Parts: sequence; structure tokens; C-alpha cells
Amino acid sequence: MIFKSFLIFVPALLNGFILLCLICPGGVFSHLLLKISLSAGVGLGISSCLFFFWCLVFSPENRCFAAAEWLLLLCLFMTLLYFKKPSLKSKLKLPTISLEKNWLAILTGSVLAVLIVLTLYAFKNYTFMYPHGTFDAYAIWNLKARFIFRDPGNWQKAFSPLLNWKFHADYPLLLSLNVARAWLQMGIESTRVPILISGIFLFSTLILLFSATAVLRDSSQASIGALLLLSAPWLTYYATTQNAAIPTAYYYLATCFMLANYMKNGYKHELVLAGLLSGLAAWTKNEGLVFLLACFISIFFFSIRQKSSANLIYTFTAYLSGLFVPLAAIVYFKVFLAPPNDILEQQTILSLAEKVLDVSRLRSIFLVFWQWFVHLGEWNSPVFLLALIYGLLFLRKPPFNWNVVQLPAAVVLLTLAGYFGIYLVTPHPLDWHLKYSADRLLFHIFPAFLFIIFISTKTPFEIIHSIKHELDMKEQK
Amino acid sequence: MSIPHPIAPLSNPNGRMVQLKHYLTLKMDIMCKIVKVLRICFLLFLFFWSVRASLAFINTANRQWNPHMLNQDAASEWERRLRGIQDDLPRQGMVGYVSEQDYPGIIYSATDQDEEFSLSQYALAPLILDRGNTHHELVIGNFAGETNYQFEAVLGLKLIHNYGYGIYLFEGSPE
Repeated sequence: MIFKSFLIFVPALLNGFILLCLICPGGVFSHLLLKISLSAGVGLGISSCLFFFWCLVFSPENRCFAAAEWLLLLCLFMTLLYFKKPSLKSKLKLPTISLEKNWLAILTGSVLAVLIVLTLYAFKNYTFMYPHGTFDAYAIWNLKARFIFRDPGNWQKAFSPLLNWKFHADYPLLLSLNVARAWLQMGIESTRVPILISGIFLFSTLILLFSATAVLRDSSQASIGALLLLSAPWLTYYATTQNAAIPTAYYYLATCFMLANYMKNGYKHELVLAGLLSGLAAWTKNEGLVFLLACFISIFFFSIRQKSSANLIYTFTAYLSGLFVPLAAIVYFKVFLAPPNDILEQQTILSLAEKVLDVSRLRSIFLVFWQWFVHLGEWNSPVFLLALIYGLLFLRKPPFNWNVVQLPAAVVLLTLAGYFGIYLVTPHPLDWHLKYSADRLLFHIFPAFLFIIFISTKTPFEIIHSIKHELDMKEQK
Repeated sequence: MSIPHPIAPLSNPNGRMVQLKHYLTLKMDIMCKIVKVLRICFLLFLFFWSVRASLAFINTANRQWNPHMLNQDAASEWERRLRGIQDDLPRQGMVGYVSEQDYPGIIYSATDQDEEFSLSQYALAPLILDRGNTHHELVIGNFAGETNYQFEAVLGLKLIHNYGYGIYLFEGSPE
């Protein structure tokens, strides 16, 4: 059943891959690892947006969506063949991943590879014991998918305002539509589908962090970063329980990588992809809307810093062109289908002001954030703190283009500030809200945080090399 | 290497400055060496700590595996529990849902109530469950324990069927 589920997603994944090859042409096999990890998110994200429009125009019952997806794949493939000109290759390409052949890179890379294989085995063992996932999976994502699969003629009932608010009928549809689409194509409500999607996002996040760091630094640094991500028990736990925190974190990381790349190279296609990926983050979870807003604000300020209105227009045109498809889906869904959000509903200016000015609320939120920062995931794992110490000890010295780090860091910090603001004004009991969501919200930014730390620090190879160089100099003296 | 004290009395003030500079350079050199050692130690620590933490969770996850307990998770169990009532309910529309928290004087766990309500909605979708509302033609009851419940007297609900495991179907009082 896992294999059958995978086959359903093959056109979506290939569409993502070819789209990436088209947007960042640099040869199909160059930076393959990076493209594979990005194509998972791009493919599944775009596929869910297209299925949403398909449902609006036709119906989920219409089984031709699979044929349409294969047709799209064929069109994209033909376009790739047509546009794959050598002149583009040299001009517009992402820097290649530097897979050094030094002992350090080989050692850390091998350990990481072994741990990824072991994690795959653990993922299978854990997730098959809880095939429906935990609360978030069966109360939100898979519940919506069931509504659509079991009654495709009335699929919009999945967002009925009559549903209890705890089922969050207003949450975006990336995961639910992917699950429902596969169930409809298979004709069976298999738990293997959401398991497979979780697995795809789990391993794509790991590989993306590795390849993104390797692109901007080196593979020994990338392995340490991926190992640190893997050591956070949250990662595998959220994936095995089919929590949407993993896909959200994946899209945050992918966007931050594209923004960092854009600041480094200034290529428009990187900004187009940043727009697409941040839009897909917002199409995954409501929290993604905060991230999207953070992206807008950060890109705006970084553009006006360059004191050129042409640059501002150029930047936003590129960013919005990538954002267009997911944003259209989000706007239609939020305006015409989704019930009001439980956080914003029944809020008045007075009640908002009261909450914002309440110092005890501020204190509670700070304390919980700090607690999670130090003891991540109730496993006594200070991964955030360790990464921060690493950042302080190994910080790179100039000459280094700090803009590469500053833009993604600004996005992450603004997102965190946005989350803080949501807790501040939440209409729900603050302790309850913090208890059941703060850890997941902090996890959203965790892979992006690691990425920022690891691109702004010296690599282990550089450290060892400098010591070796010093010793050699002394010997010569 | 012996380091001369910076404030050692010297007859020549210029010589004293040179000595101070030399002293500070040596100190900086030592500090740099300490930072470098610290960096290497931290790098090694981080590497081994990450591997250990990853293995610990992999171990925990592997311990969950029990082939004899497949499909015994809460959601699968709850679906089996509701299989009987599912046949007597409409496939779509809306029904009421009451549980211990709607019955006065019963001690209950809020988390369990939320969990069971969510599992019920998940099992019975696309039927919508209206929590705590008895003003429907049909109302699902989820009441665990040995309490002698007086549904008609307390909640105004007429029992249609008791499916066991605390699952009931009631006739509600539509408005």
C-alpha cells in the first residue's frame, strides 16, 4: 500500500522537480540532492493547490485529476527539453554542493547517513503503531481528508462552521487535500497515505538542511547541522504522529534558504522560489500566514535599504510571481469557504488592548518560550541553546556578506515576534494555549534557525585547517 | 615560559611599555589557544551529543514496535467501539453529542473528553457532531464508568440503544 501511495505522488514529485529545473536551470543532475529535497515540497504543495482549484471547478469526484497531472508533467518535460539551452546553464545556476573528500566530511557524512537510515527504520516502527497519528492529525488534517473522501459531492462541508472549533475548519488545506486526493485515486481510505506524506517531509527537511548548508558552506558543516536537527526528538516524533509542524518547518527552511541565496547571488529565480515556498507555508498552516507577513516586511526593508525604487519593484514582482498560485488558493479559501478564525473571532479593540498591556501575560509567554528554548521537547535536550553556543564560538569574521544571514534571520525573528503577538491576544486561556502549542510553534523555526547558525559560522574543516596551518608555521619557525 | 610581571619596577619607562606589550601579546596568545581548544572540545561534544541523542530517540521509537499490537491504537480502537452505532446513524447531517462533562456532578478529565470527542468525530465523518447540544433528533452519548445515569431525568434524553463500552444512542429534543 505504501508503494501504491507513492505511485500516486510520483507525478506531483516529478512536476516539482522539473519546475525547479526550469526555474533554476543548471543542468538536471547538478545539485541533485538539493533539487530532490526541494521538489518534494514544491511538488506536493503545487499539486494540492491545483487539486483545490480542480475541486472548485469540477468536483473531487472527477477522477481525471490524475490524468491532468500526468499531462502537466508531460508539458513541463517538453518545456524543459525546449528551454534547456547551454547558455542559460552558465548564467543562472545555484552554486554546487561542495562534497569535499576530506576525512572530516567523510566521517560526519557517514555518521549522518547511518543515522538517517536508522531514523527511517524507527519512523516505520513508531508510525505503524499509531497509523492515524495523534490529536492534530485525526482532529484536523485527516479529518478534513475524510470529509472530502467520504462525501466528495459535499466536500466543502469539511470547512463547515458547524464543526466544533477544536477541529479548526479554517486551517489551510495542503496536507488534507494531498491525503484526500490520494485516497480518491486509490479508492480506499488508507492510513499509509498520510504516513507517506509525513515521511516525505521528514526526510526532505533533513536533506534540505544538509544540502542548503552544504551549498553555502561545506558538507562537514552541513552534516553537523543535520545531526543537530536529527538529535531534536521533536523532529521524528512530530513526523511519526503526522503533525503539520514538520511540513511547516520544511517550508520555512526552504524559504530562508532561497532568501539567503538571493542575498548572495541576486538572481530573480531565487526570489520567485522564495515566494512560492513561503506561500506554500501559509497554505500548510495558519501560522504560515505570520511567516508570509514576516517575509513581506523583511523583503520590503531589505529592498528599500538599497535605496532604489526600481529594485523594490523588481524584488516584489519576482516574489509575488512565485507567491501567486498558493496565495490565490489561500485567499479564495479564506474569503469564500473557511469559517472565521477562533483567534480573531469575537475580539474587540478594547479586549485586544487589555491583553497587550497585561504584563503578566507577557511574562508567562516569555517564560514558556525560554523554557522550550532551554529544554526542547520535554527530553531535556537543549538543542536550541547548543546551536546558539556553536554560533557564538564559531562566528565567521569579515570579509563575509552578512546580508546573506540578515534577511533570513529577520524573517525568523519577525515570525517569532508574530507568534508572541498571537499568544498575547489569544482569546483562549493563555496557559492552555501555550501548553498545547508553544513547542510546535518553536519547532517551526528550528530548522531555519539551525540553517542561519550554520551558514554564519566557520566550518569544522576551517577550524581544524587553521590550527594545522598554525602548527605548520611554528614548525617552520 | 616565564612571563615578567607588567608592573615590575623598571628604571626605563619605554622599556616598561615594551614589556607590557609583550606581556599582553603572550596573554592574548594563551587566550586564543584556550578558545581554539574550547572550540575543538565543543565541536567534539556537539558531534557525540547529537549522535547519542539521535540514537536515544531511535531506540525509544523502536521500542514502540510490537507486531501483536498493530491497529490497537486509540483511533483504531475508538472506530471499532463506534462501529455499532455507526449503522444506526445517518451518513451525513448533524447529531448531538453528550458525555460526562455535560452530566452534572460527574468528575471527568477534560483532556480525555476532548480526545474522545475528536476520535468520535473522526470516526463518524462526514456526520457532524454538535458537542453538548441535545436539541437534535439523535444524540450520541459517551459515558464511561459504573455511575447510575438518569439520562431522561437529568438531560431529557430518551435512550434508544446501549451499544456497550459506554456508547449510547438517544432520542433528543429538537427545537
